[in-house]
Amino acid sequence: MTQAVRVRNLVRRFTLRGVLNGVDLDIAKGEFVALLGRSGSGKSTLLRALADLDQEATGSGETVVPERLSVIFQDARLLPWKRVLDNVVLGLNGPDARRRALTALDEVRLAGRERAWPHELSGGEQQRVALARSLSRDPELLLADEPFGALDALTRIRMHGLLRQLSIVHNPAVLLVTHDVDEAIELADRVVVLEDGRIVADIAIDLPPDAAARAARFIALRRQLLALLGVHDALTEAA
Amino acid sequence: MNAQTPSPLGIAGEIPAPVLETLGVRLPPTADRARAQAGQHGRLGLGKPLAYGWLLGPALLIFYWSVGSASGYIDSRVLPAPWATVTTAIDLIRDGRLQANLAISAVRAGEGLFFGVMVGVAVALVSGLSLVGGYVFDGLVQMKRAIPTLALIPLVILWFGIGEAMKVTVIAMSVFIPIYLQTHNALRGIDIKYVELAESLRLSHGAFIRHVVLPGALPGFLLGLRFAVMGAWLALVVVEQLNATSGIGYMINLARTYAQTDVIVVGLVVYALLGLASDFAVRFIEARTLTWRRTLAR
Amino acid sequence: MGPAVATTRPMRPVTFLVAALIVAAPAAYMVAAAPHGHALVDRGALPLTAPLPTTVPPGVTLVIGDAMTERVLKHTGWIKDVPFTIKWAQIAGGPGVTEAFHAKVLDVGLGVHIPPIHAVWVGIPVRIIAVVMRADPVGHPLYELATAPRSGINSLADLRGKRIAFSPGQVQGEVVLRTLQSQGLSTKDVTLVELPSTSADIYINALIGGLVDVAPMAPGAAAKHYVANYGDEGARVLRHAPFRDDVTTLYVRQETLEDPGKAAALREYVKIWARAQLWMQAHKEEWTQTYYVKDQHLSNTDAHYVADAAGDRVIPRDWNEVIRLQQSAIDLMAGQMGQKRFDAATLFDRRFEAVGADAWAQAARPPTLAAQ
Repeated sequence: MTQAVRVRNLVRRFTLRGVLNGVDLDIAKGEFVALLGRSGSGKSTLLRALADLDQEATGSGETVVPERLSVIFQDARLLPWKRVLDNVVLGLNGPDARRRALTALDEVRLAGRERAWPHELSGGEQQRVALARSLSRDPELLLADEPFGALDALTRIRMHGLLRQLSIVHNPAVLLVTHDVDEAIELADRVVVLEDGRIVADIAIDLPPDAAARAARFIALRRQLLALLGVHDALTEAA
Repeated sequence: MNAQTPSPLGIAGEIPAPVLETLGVRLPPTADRARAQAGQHGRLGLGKPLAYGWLLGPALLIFYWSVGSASGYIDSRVLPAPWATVTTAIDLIRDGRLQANLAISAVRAGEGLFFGVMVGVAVALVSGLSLVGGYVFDGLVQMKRAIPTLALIPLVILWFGIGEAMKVTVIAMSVFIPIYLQTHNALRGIDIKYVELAESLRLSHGAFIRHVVLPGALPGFLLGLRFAVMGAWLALVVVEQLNATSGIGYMINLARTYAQTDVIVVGLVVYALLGLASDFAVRFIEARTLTWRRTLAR
Repeated sequence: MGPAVATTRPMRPVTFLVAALIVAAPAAYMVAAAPHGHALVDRGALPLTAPLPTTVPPGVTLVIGDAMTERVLKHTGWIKDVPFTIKWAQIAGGPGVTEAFHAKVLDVGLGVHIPPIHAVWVGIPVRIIAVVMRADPVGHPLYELATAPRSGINSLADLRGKRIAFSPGQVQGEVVLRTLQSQGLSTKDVTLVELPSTSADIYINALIGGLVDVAPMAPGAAAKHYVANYGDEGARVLRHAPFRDDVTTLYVRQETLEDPGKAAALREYVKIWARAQLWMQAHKEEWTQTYYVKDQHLSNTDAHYVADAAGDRVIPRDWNEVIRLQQSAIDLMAGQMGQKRFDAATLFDRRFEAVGADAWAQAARPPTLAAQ
């Protein structure tokens, strides 16, 4: 099967309000999908449904996800009472768990910080540890819920580069929930727009290698996506 | 006085940093502390803390006590002078009476503390980690908590007599309540985000408890331990007034019949020192085991 | 922004001076206000050899711990005739009185003859102002010896090697020592466990709890129930050898006697106290109902049991015999307590000797028109 994720007719309700009203989604192996939407559109709910996190929600529908999946939250969620390496190794079994964890830390460029406590790290560093934690399990699917939302703009740029690099090396399927259009276009192969609990657009991101054409295509995609989100931006208007 | 003194360690209560450092406790880095300190020292802040400032209160007390005794303002039969208390203490030590009674009191309190902590933690684990366990135990403990342990002493005497068993039981009961309450709350109050993390990492139930619940509940347990230690000494004091033939309380009781106020004061000072020492010990344990905590600098 | 590291700002000299003054002020006050010597003399001190004043000035209060007399005075209404104010204190027993005397919150204490000796030895000078005894001390002793269940003691001969509750500041302590003497035992032949008996249940709990094997116990309701509950496990109550343990006294601090107003009030109190003693003697049934049943909440049976165990009381005509007994007690306890012997006569304020005896004798006569 080349598919990593298959979602059919997913409905999710919390109390009375319907949050997901029939979502169909496919993600292929190794495909990087960004999930865009306004606040309250249900994008986190969709991700959490795939991660099987919201037990108390009612609903119906079918989701098929791979065995090895990993979640990255907006806050790094490192256990404060464990050192960095112990956090990465958490839940990882097998004789080479430590070695894999150290390798992952090296990949996110935190080699040498294994014995640090989480609170000694900056926000970006903590999120990198969370990334290492996910990668050390070699997941088939990475669910990232606005992972860079809490970081400052410069760190965010660095993290984009890191994530892109890692996804090339490890090639998991990725579902990245974000409200940042630029981020979505930068990183994803495909952008899906969610509105009122339904998917309203599914756009392939095809950025040509040539620098000038790339920039133009970027702006066009940006305008398109922002329009779908109901946002009119001076930059896109001018173009 | 030294120029720069780090603020006392928040989680360790009022133990000054120099003391902690001499004891070998590694203090976490000072980014937050420096920021907090600057806030304290601004023009409108409290001002720079002094290294041994916390000694001022007790020092004043001893100063006024000494002056009052030396001048005769304080009737020595009502409150003996500090030096009389010291010489009495030395006599009691030479006699062997002080050490013997102190050892017995300490052992009693220690046993009560031990059993109270064991039972408290065990019941808290059962009621905190399982829904049914909570239904069974939590209601009962809340009911018991409404009745002060010391008020149950007449019943305890009927059931356990007046020997050591009764005394240790009363102390253990006073210890059990705070240990149970704080540990139970800490276990039930694990932040949901860590629970989600554990779920997303597919941790087994055992691994979840070992890596997330227990370490997360440790600060709450240690807080309960501080209260428990206080409760243990309080219960000890009361229990030793009753039908005891050994212990610091017995020594004080006998002193009453001989109008030996100085022995009474020595006994009280011993109680106070024991209470302080054990509180200090708990805070020390806190500082050592909770090094991962960000300092809440004052 | 400002520096991250604070610089030391030295305290200004004025601030330091003000702080020093604030700290020094209470200390200076303490030195100045301290009493110089004992300001007893300017209270119109009455020497102990001067005759007792016969009129009580207004505004005198005595704090008295004597539950039985209190009940009699209130029941008969005689309390209205008392020419001074009485504050009744609920203090009973040697240790309680010693503590209250030490704190100077009690004027008149009630105790069997040992607590006054003990008071002198712990540094509180006291005088005995009234004495009442049992008419038949051997047949109606104040204390018996109770044994613990499973102690293996069946008679006084079995005391060797046992643990005995011992309270040297109370008559219970003398009872233990005299009992050992009567059996030819020294204190080294037994284990004395020092335990003050400050309430009825202390020795009972000590026996039940196995802390001691033998303890003195008054033959009252508590003892009766103790034997009833634990008798089949071997608990017993034994009579001690025939010596007196019953001389009950009223005693006061020496300085109370040096206050002329209080001395006069004490004289009046002893008179009325003696009348109360006779009343209890003459109205036994009424007394049993009023005190033991209504006030102490004993059952009818228990109340009569206690009253019968007390037997008859008598106030002696003179104190010679009592002083002799007291001297023998002092000699006995001095050795045990490591204290110095003293002349028993100094413990008694003989100005009161006739007061009590006369009031008793007068009350015993049938009332005439020329009463009081």
